[in-house]
Amino acid sequence: MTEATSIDAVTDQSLKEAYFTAGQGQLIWTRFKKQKAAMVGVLVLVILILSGLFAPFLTPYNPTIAGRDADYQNGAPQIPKFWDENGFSVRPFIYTPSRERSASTNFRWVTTVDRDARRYVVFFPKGHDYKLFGINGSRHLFGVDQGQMHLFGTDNGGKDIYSRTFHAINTSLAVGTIGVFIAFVMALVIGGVSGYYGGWIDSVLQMITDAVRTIPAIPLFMALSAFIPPEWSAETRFLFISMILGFIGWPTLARRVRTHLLTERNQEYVLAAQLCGASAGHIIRKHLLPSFTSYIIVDLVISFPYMVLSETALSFVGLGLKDPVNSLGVLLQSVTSADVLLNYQWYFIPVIFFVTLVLAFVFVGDGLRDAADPYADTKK
Amino acid sequence: MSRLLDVENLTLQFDTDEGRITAVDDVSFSLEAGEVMGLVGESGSGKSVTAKSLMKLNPSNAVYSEETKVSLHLETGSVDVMSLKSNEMQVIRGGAISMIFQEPMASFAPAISIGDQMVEQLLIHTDMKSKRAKEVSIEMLARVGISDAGTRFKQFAFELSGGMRQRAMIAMALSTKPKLLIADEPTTALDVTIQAQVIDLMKDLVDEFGMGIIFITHDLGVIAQTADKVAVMYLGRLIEQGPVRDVLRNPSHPYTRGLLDALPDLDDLDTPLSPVPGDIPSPLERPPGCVFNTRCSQFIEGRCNVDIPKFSAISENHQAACHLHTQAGDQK
Amino acid sequence: MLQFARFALIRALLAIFTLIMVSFIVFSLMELVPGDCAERYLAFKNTQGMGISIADIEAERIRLGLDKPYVTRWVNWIYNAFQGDFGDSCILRVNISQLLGQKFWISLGICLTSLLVAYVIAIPVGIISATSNNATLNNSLRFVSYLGLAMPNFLLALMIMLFSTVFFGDTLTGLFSKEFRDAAWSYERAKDFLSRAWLPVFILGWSATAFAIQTVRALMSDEIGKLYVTAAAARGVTGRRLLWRYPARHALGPIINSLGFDLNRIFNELPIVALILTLTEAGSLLLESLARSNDQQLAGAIIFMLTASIVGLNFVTDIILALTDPRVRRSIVG
Repeated sequence: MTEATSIDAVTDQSLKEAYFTAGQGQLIWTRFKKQKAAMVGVLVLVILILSGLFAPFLTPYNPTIAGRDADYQNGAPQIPKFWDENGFSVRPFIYTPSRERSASTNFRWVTTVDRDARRYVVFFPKGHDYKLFGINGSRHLFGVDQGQMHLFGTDNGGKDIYSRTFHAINTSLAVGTIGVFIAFVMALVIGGVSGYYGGWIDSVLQMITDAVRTIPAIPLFMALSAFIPPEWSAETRFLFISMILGFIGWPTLARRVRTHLLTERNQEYVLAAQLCGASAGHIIRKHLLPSFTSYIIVDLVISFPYMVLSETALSFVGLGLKDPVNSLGVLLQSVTSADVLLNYQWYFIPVIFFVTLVLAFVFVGDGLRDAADPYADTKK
Repeated sequence: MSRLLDVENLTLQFDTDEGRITAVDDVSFSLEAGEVMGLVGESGSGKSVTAKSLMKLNPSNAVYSEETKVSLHLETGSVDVMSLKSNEMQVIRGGAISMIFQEPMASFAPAISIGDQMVEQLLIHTDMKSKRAKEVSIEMLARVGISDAGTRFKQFAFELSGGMRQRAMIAMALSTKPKLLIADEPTTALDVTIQAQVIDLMKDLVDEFGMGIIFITHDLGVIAQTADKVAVMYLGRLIEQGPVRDVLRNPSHPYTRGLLDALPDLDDLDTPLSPVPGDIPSPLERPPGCVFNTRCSQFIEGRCNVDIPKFSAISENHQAACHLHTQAGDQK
Repeated sequence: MLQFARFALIRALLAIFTLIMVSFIVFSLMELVPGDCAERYLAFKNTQGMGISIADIEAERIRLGLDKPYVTRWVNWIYNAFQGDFGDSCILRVNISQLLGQKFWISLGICLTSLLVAYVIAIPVGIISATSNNATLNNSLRFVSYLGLAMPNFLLALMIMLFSTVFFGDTLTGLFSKEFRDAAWSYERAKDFLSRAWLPVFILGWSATAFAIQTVRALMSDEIGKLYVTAAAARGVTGRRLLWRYPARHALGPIINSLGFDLNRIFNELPIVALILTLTEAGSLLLESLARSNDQQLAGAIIFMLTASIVGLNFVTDIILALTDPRVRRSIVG
């Protein structure tokens, strides 16, 4: 609208050249870099993804029942200290808790802390064995010289919430990735066929897509996952749930793919390519796909957090993942009781990580969407 | 003729993420009642922004300089446009000044009927009752040559043809009998044959209503047909102005000359067209000195890229801002 | 008028067609589930200590008509479904329509109220944030709506429960107090209901509002940038009139259009919120039918009814759109 503002800040001729000849992806990246919130989102996301990937190394204990601390159940977070009334220590330490149930405690479990028995934090101790990218390891980032330490406390089984949180991030990312991948493949096939052929095939496929879109996804997939045979192993269950989540995402994505294809297909450059004698396959690969791959990637990033949210919701009501697989929904299964709400608030620590993860994704997705919109600059 | 409009030292910048961008730089001109002025320039030269400034219609990030003074001389006295508050703008917008836009389709609200929009404007600016406003609107539609005006009145912009829409736009703009009409490339989006009809219509209406017109275009042919005087803009600055015959016959700024050379010559179609070389620079990197120096074939090192040229008289009322002429003036 | 009736009829037929297709999808999925109603019922009886033989299962299958071909059963199901009869629950052996009864309408009411609340908040807030240049205001609004997107509703529900348990000693759960749970509707019962229903409405409305604010904001910024708004300003239209009659009115169409999908999104959240707040309505009934008893008949019925209400809403919005937007209206009337 304003003639003056639409021209970009490109200083010298070679830069200008680079700007005009830049691919879709480069342009999006250039615009994306300008957005502070989105860049912070990327940073947070990278940190979270890395900590999810390296969870077995970064966390001291096995997140499943195998790594439980029988002496410290429903235990509060233990924060390492450098100093107390017994003196200063260069190495951070925690105290040794002990549990007791006797007539003197009214026959309830009571945890007491022995302030004289210090446990010193050590780095790279040997712990349980794990496998990371095919490499066997048993060293962990940190631990204590004797017993265990629990930065985020423990749950009612004595499992370390810190370890569980990081493994849960890993699981959530894996579920999201598989879900998005399945949704993407279905969307590409259905949307692609619909958009490329058009005509009555398009009409029929659109009608089906619209019908599927009207069914509320979560109740439907709750219904489906409720009938998972109880004898399935946790891993099969995990795979199945991820697949189900993939089915939630496809109609929206398929619509986008179709719209992209339909508009691009009628562009003059496609006609030009056809007139030059290019084959249909060549046109699809060399002209159509590159014209919108970056937009599809943006769509994928945007749909990612919804996969994660759905998984959490499903697991939370007990229809999704189950122990020993860790996910945030699984972690939160037990918090509905008033007992937990009142006494063990550290159960909520993973929530902070989770909300951060989803927020980071939303910020990045939003930033990407703005960057991918070729008219974002002129619309202001 | 009496003086209708004085624009002095109009300077306007946009506040953007990249900093302040100068869109209009120290532009001054005036217009008599009943006079048609053509405002010419490439896209990005600031002509639309200049026109919108007369009604302060630019987006909210526009910053006008302190020296800017726009006075409109009406029968009731002079109005200082820059000092008007937003609730006082009604007097000018759609009342004393009307504007026609390039895309008639986009300038009508799609879900409000043409009649309703016309009546709305009349109700704002006159003390007519809505029944009378409707009659006046239908009369106006008929005046601009729309057949079956009563039916058209109830229709929506998407139901009319392009030429019809622009006629309706003109009818709406003139319904309040404005003193000044700003036409922002009113014919660019139209077919050539309809262009001619619309231009004829506008000429007739000017004669009849005796108002001043600012006609924005990049089409020098249209200017030659319609305008009394012409002002040429480049990168936010006025570089040449004068009576239309003088400027077109004796273009004195290299840019004006370039624009005229770029037109095809219908008598000798074999001569190659000679476009103005290069691109209009980004407003973010306005060249120092004369704004045109980066593309000028008669560029003088150490002068054109240092000093901003002042207007020098070519003939009576005809001025150009170019160092080639200041030199000539110095020698006299 | 006649053309309009024709348009409405075509839309209604399309809606019914969509419903039939949806019913096919839902019915097929329910069929894919391992085990059928007869097995389930008899297995349930088995747990009550009755001996069950293969012959019993076969007899039960014939009684329920499960031996008939797939398509016949589907046609039967859909035929009855359109008359509001979903057969008997697999396990409880009660007529589903009776079982759901007003529970479904209460859920629908809660969801629609949340939708209404969401837009009552979102329309002014979205318009203000689209028109204002105040960076602080815009950024904080943006942050709040991001939070609405990132914070799952069930977490919000948990937080509110935590808060109310700590401060009021009441978990605020349930839609009725004990004494009114099974009572007939009365003024007192309605009052009791309203005093508790605000919480699910609030929780469901939370993320719906976040979404709606983003939608309204985006649509408004789109419309405000259009030439017809500048043109209207150039004609002397100012202030609120310029805002409401021009961009706001034109942004309304897409908003109405998206209502169906908003309702869909709210339905997605309903079962989980219902579980936490232990509300006695369709959402938690669905959960119960799934998690505890694998009652595919009941689950199918609930999903079908949820979808039917979305299709219904879509039909209504189509008609409203046709009435308010001349572009659509003229394309029908010609």
